[in-house]
Amino acid sequence: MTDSHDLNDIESKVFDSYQVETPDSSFANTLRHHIVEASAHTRTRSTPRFSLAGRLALAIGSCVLALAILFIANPKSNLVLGMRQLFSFIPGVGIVEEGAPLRQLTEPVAETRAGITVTVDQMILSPDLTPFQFQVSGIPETAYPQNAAEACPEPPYLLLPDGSRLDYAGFNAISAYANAPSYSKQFTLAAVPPEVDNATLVMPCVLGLKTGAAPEGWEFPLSFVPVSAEFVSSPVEEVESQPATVAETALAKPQGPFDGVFTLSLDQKISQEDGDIYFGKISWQDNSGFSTAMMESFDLTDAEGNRVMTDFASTDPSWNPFEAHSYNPVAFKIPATTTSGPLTLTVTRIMANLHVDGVSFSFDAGPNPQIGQQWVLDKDITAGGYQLHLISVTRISNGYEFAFENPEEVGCVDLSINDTQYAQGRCGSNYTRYEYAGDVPTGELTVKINNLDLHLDGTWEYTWMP
Amino acid sequence: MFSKPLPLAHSGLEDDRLAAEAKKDRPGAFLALYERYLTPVYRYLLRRVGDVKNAEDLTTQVFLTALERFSQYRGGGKFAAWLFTIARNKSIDFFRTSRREIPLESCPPHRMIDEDRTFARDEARQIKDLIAKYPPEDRDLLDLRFAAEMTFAEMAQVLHRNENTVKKQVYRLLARLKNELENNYD
Repeated sequence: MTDSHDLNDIESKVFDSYQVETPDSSFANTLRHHIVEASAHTRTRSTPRFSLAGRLALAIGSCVLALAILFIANPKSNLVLGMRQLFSFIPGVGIVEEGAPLRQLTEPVAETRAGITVTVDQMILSPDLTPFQFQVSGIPETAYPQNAAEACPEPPYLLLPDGSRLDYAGFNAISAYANAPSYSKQFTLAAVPPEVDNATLVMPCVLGLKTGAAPEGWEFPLSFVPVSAEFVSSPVEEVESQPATVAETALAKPQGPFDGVFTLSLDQKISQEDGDIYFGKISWQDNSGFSTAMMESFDLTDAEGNRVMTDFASTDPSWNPFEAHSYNPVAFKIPATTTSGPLTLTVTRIMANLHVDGVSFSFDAGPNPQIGQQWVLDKDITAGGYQLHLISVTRISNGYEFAFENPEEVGCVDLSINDTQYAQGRCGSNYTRYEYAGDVPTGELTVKINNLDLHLDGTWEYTWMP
Repeated sequence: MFSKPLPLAHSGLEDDRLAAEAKKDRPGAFLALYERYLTPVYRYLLRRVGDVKNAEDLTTQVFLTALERFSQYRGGGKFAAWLFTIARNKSIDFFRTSRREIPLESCPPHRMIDEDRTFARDEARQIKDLIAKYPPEDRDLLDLRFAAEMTFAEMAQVLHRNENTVKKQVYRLLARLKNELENNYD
């Protein structure tokens, strides 16, 4: 083989050959705007502005969904067999109790002003949530903002007959393309009370477009009716594994301290026209000290070993209505074009959060530590079965940064200093940084190690017939 | 070791600092990651799909997907690998859905930079043409290395392969490319 030293020149040339293409500046600006807008909704989602009743409804909805997964997950339970038939899946809504009173728009509503058409084409009213979709078409390219400050700042809301309003509640999906003449958006509002059969969707301005570039103050009178008999809902099915080919290897590094701790299962399948959605979970042994685990690296292959793409793979641990259970949900969708043979899910790495008890160290920062001052501690610390190496602590502007040299499997090391509440914490694979809003702790400091993020390699295969 | 280090555009630790800030409702931090990775992601996707419009569409999808799934990123200095796994999957989805593959030479000429004016650019064109004839899996390696500007460790994460294996495969391709380029001049 050619020595790598001989390849310096060709590597530089290949690199240069790749550097000639740069994204168009207007495309970059538009995408930047979309990100700003989507970020705003993401933040709104994390702190929803709806009422206590709305939050309660959401909680109940989450519990319904969680119960569906929780109970259906255990195929040996007679209770499960009874419960399984009680749920169905509705696109845009999720898993709901079968027979739940669902309503929809009497008909889609559209309005055209100054050449721009806004269509409210779907709204589903469940006891828990109100997802809806609208489309905007006829958009001139000039209506797109060049920066976030120019963009329409206020999302739509639903005005009820009694004057109260339902605001954005999250779970939006965006289908937006740079400077396209049309786009569609999905939003979710809090639940509409069952006695309310009409409301007004208010759109102060058209999201995604430049303020003033499109008509403002849109109002769409909506009325609701029970869903029709043809309304598409899909039954929730149990995933049948292939006993002959299942290799139920526990997921963990073979010789690691957590060998056999984690298991993965697929439990539910929801068939839709455009593909199948699978729900499952990563579980860990009770009392193992873990609080979360998710697939970090995985592949789905067909019978011939060809990779099958998943449409989405949500392992978001924030969705976790039961505080103490020992699993995280897994969800992904396989497009309908997938072959009909057996499929194999292979997980090769998980990220797990391990709680650590009773591990601490001390250092003396002195009465008046200066910014930039560094304490070289060069200390080995055993935590969670791993030997961490603390190199140094540095006083930064509003706190301290701890530099580690840790085993490859260890990611963030979560600390606390003198049990003092910090304003902001950051961490990476080899550092942890805390900043304080008020006084920075000084003097003799006791630092506790609370949690470790672990990236655990292993192999776990699950084969089933789709 | 190469004497001339590649001008890699990112560093895992700094990415994690930005990612941690972005998770604390600081959209400016995600925008900083966007600014940092826009060009590598776009270049990578342009190389994969071969035309500007689809590269722009896929780039949009990559960043909006990354934003939606941002809570799943858990640090470890692997943001680039995480982001380019999304980008690579999007490009695979693109070909799976459209069931087509666009060779680089079919790119609309008016949307591409004129590379014929200088010798260096002519050489760049030759390199691109040679790479365009390589099998998809070989192009994937070169695209991740030179368009996405990834380290071998990051490539190994995206491709689920051993880092040394990836490194050897890239060197082997570079050696092949070097020979082919020299043969073109002979």
